[in-house]
Amino acid sequence: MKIKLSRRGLITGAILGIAALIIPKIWQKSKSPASALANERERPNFDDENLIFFTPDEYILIYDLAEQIIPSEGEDAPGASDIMLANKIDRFIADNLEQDVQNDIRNFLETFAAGSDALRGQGFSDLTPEEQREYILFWKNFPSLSLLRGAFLALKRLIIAVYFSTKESWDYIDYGGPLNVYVDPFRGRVL
Amino acid sequence: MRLSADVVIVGSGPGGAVMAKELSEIAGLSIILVDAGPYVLERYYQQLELKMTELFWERGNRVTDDLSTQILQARCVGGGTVVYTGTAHKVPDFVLNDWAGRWRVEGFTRGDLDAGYERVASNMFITEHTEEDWNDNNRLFVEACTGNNIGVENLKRFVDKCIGCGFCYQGCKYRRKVTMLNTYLPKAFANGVQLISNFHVNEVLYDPKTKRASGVKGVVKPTPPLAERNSVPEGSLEINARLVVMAAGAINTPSILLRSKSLPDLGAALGRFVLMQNAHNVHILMPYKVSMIRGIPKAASTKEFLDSHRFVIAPAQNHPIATANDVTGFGLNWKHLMRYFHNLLQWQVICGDDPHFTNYVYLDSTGKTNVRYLYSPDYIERQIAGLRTCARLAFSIGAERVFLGPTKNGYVTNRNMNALDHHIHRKYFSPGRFSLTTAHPQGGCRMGGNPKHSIVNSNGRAHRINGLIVSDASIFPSPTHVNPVYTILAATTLIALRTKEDIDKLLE
Repeated sequence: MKIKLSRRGLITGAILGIAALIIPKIWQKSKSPASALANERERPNFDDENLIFFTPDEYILIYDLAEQIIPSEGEDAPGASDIMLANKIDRFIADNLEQDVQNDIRNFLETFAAGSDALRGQGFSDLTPEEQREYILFWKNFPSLSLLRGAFLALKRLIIAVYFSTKESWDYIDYGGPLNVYVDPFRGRVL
Repeated sequence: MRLSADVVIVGSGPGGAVMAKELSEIAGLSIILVDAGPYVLERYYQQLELKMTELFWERGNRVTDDLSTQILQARCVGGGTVVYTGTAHKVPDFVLNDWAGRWRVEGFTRGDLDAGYERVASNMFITEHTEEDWNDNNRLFVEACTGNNIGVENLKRFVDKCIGCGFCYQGCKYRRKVTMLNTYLPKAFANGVQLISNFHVNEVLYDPKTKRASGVKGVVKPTPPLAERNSVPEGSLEINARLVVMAAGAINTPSILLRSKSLPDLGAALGRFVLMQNAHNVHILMPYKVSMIRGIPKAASTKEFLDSHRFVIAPAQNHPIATANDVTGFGLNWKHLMRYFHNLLQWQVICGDDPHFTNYVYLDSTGKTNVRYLYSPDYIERQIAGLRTCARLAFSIGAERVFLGPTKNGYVTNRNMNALDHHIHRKYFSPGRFSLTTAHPQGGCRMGGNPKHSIVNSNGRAHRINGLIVSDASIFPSPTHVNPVYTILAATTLIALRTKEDIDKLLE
């Protein structure tokens, strides 16, 4: 069987290999003492069968990542978990994005998760919230490989896009959404 | 399915629509105009940021291969004219001098292009904005400039009776923006041009016997909801034509030509010299609420630094998704900032990079279009200079914080005002560390006098094969440094008129 590997996939793979070797050393220097406590945060029960695009592992990863980017603060300031953003992202990707963009997202998530495994021997979702934040900061500012920083930007872009298309987020920032006025479309000049 | 016509035009944006309308005035010439995107009429546009990314390639997720730069390119009938603010800038003299001097482009003098601009203006409608049109974002921008003795000019836009709804990037549902959809395309259709939408061209065909391009081949994809019905059924489609006009835009035109394996070598410059012209958004936190997302998006700009530093500063208008995307960071502080969305002004620094052979479009092993791009040191310096100027202007009108990319934390405060050169610095300009966006990509099929260094001549005709014309921003050998739409329209008008003159010879 002929395996088709995209150039981006090849680069991602290569970087992952390099990163797996070098990240632990840099991480150990930059990291504060790790919490040995198991991550006992509650996550919503979800039915695997309701997921359209994400695998269960990917779902938990995007759930935690989204909550780190848009944390919950209560009713007036809904965070990602308050509005089940991970489910909305799942549906958005499945319904709207083309296959190659879907593949890219899957690659980014895989890279992100694998980096965490290489660092700690633990998946991203097994880290405490504080450790997750440190890991994201480390990733976001990764010194030499722009692809790793770019992967974070791409995931952030996806999470933000879905979050700020919800009514709850509009209420939070007092954004009015579409202009609800009727303007005769035919008054515009047509030459 | 197989169709045939005298001319097939790939792309219905500014390049393709102008060609279609101008060539359709030749009696008896059959023309098929194809586009990869849907044909969505204005009344179906929704003022929703995420929803309307349907009008962009990869839903706005097209990026350079290091993932650092988002490339926004329209994928809809009407192309970029549908999803931009409508600004009408003429290309500066130094750009034309560069084209003529360095790249041996003939026939694109100021006089030539002015004739093109004039013809475009007679087919469209341009409004010059005045002080009455300014919202807070524009007014404070002008105040900042005049307070610092920096000249500003009122902008001209392709709009008519704009109501200032603030949704230019989502397409104007009120038909107040003058686009290809309500000018050139209806005229072309009236003259008998057939439109095929949702048609993804895979390759340009070549006839080795006649040694000329002989058509295009691709797949017609399903028509999405709300789009107009297509004129052909879904599935494979081959269109045979005596003249092929590529107007799919920078990135896409070179990508299709690279994919066309039956074509002979078009030159080493194919796909090369891609140009990023970034609009770097700057978000300015004011101590009071301001009107930014309603009103005219761009009513004024300053070109004071164009000749000396090659950048332009102008107001911008982004809704929450684009704003949140631009503001560096994540977590609680970042989220709290978004609560002050209505205290934000948005300006942008527009700056074009220089042409480099090492910046190019390529296809990966799966056939997907990719762009490899490294910013030149000179570009970074100019961009930094523009951002520093922007920050100075913002603090001079009482801004509390200015959010922009190349800083340590993603922003500078008014306490940093006297040390902006230190805080906004090239050492922070690392791709991927902050969001970079371009909506003005150019190059990749550059025109020029030397076939070794260019793909087409100044009439848009391929140097090495007959029957192939390129008519879009991919032919620009160096960036326009201002919004390129008006210049694409004018340049392709010139190419269309020259094609018209020689049509018999070109079809032979």
